[in-house]
Amino acid sequence: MLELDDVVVEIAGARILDRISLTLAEGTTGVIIGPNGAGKSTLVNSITGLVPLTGGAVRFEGRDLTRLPTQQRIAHGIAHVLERRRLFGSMTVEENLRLGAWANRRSRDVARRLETVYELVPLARQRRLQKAGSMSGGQQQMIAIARGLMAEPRLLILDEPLLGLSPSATDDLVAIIRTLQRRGVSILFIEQNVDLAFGIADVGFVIETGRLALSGPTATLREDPELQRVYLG
Amino acid sequence: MSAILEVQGLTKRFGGLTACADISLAVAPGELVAIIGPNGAGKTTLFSCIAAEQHATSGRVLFDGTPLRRRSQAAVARMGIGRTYQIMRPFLSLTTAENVMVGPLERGRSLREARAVADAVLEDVRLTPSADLPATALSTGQRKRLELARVLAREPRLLLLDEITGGVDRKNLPDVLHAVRRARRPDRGIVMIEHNMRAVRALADRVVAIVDGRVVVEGPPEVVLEDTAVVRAYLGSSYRPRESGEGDAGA
Repeated sequence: MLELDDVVVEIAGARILDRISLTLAEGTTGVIIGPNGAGKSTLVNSITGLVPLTGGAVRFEGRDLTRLPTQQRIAHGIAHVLERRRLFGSMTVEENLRLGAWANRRSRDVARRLETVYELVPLARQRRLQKAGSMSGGQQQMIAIARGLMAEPRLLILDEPLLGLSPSATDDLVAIIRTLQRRGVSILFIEQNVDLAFGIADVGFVIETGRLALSGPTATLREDPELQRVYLG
Repeated sequence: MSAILEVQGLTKRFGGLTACADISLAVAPGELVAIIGPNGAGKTTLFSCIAAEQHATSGRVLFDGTPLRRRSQAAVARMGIGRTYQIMRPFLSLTTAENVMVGPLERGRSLREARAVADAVLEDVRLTPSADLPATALSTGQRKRLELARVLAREPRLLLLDEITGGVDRKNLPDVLHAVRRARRPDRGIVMIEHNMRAVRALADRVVAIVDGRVVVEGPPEVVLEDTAVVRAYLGSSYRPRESGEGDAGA
């Protein structure tokens, strides 16, 4: 459903992504791992158009997204939850969620979507009138994902969703990801903790200084001596 | 020869969080030591305690045998400890050379002397062609080398490099490695926090691995980078690599 074809991103003369090609099949969960500064966030940002491509193409469900602005890519069924949440802190949880439906503007739908999301993320319902900024980091992360789900994406992109979460918040979030997996949502996420990443994802993409060094089923990567070389030289 | 830097049982706590736990290490003059460890291991906090930007909760830092106690950052810099930062902050309104001249000028050198120092240092870091360009014209790799040049112009005896290869692409990595090699002196110790293991293998005499605030292993790069505890810290306990060669036949 998602295809990257020879993607190149250059920023200020530095080649951050160097001819990356990868495919994520419908209904699967992929994880992007790799050492610091490898280009993981730039890679997901290139999918939703938050950084412009220098070369190559991004296709989603057969459609070429390369030249579309971010909001149009989102409208095609991709949601992207950025690193470190970025909720509107002075707005309530529910107001934040309503904004998540913005890209698909059939407003009569919003109530139904809210109900679906509240069912998936019970915390969002419990706290729906609370100011988002007054919640803990883990709770905010949950709400940020709930907001992403308001767009009813077929592909959900998460940039380090588990970063800085307590063990119990991590468990809660992983449980939500598993529910989404069962419901057929395709997911692409970035994670630094290899154990955790491989426990959740079906396939892994290992990025090393801008290149795709390795990819494949996580069960295979778990045994691949090359993975150690990528991290430890 | 006695150590230029000695860290003895350094612990740094932030409330209930222990960022550095009883860390001890020593660096000899002429030596280049790399500190590695996963994100959040406490590496940058250790640097901040050595450079007196923060003070240890307990333990000591000795520079050339002198305990730093609660000296200020400026005092420690004057003693000869220089550090680079992950986030570079050159003076954007100045040229590359002028950025480098700031250190020597601050130490009372004349304009002419400061320029001579800058020219020499910029040659070492391969930035001579950019000397008179505004700092804004530099790429990330070049800015990293400018950051190094600015510190080198203060002639530190202990050089602390915080991710000097961070954000540098493959094409520019050799220039950064060259610049670090040129920074080595028989009377200077260098400590680098580094995520790029290629750089670690290429440059370091010795590697110290820190995980969860503690030193888990130290030794030559080829030993530390293959150490089981280090592999587990980076790749988790479920990572079980096949022996090399095994399973490759049918691939």
